[in-house]
Amino acid sequence: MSSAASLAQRTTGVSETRAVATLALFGVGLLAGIVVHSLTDRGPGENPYPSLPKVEEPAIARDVVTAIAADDATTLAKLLSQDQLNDLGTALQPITDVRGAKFVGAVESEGRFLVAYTVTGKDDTGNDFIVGFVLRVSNDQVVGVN
Amino acid sequence: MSPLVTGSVGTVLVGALLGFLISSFVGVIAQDNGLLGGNGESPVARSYMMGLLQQDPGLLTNIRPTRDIAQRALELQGSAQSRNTNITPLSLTYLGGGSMGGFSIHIYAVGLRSGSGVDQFFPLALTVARGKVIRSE
Repeated sequence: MSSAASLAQRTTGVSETRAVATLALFGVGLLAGIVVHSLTDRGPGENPYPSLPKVEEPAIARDVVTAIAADDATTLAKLLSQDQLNDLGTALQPITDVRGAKFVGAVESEGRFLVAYTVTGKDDTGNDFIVGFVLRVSNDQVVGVN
Repeated sequence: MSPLVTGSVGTVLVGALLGFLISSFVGVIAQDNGLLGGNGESPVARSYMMGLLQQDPGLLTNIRPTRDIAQRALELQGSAQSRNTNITPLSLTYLGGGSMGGFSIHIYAVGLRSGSGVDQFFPLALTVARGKVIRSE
């Protein structure tokens, strides 16, 4: 083997070793960054107040949200009063084109239910938005929209 | 210091920074979607609710969009008046939320007793963006 070929082979070997070492050091750093973040990010603090247990979605609320998601104004008009429809319009702003509605949770206190939803959709200019609204339900009737 | 050592330290530091950023990004997505055992509640939203229930404007200042001096003074007047009306928080329940792009929604159910002894039970939906509560209703 010529001396030039031997030198080239040795140089390639050193370059590979250096590349592996660099990658290993980078990996160690990456891991250290993840560990530091997990130690410093503590999430929400302790809730000092009692939390109510979650309950199932009331049927009347499900009917309302199904109508919203299906863009079914006829059914919605039968399920909600005029004031409630106005409140719903306010809660959905700026969404004008609903693309989906998702039940996120419900609680009950002394027969009064609060049923929460998120709605995704587009505004007048086509921008994507997400909003949240809550149906108040009592005696199997929607009594308010927030 | 030899170039080998400075190069190695630099590589580790770049890796650490990237690891921290990736972890933060993944953490936000996991938190917003309730993955990894979390319920999706945002620390910013929780702090906001604590500030409201404890009637502490100091807790709210850092997690609201920057406002002019007149608005801040009005808010302090309002909180001073509301401190005079004694309320007792009875419960605070995180109902859930969702996210899209840089926005996340967090919905709470609040139970409280007013100074006149009347119990109230109402929801509050918060919109959080860039670490601030930009909408509360």
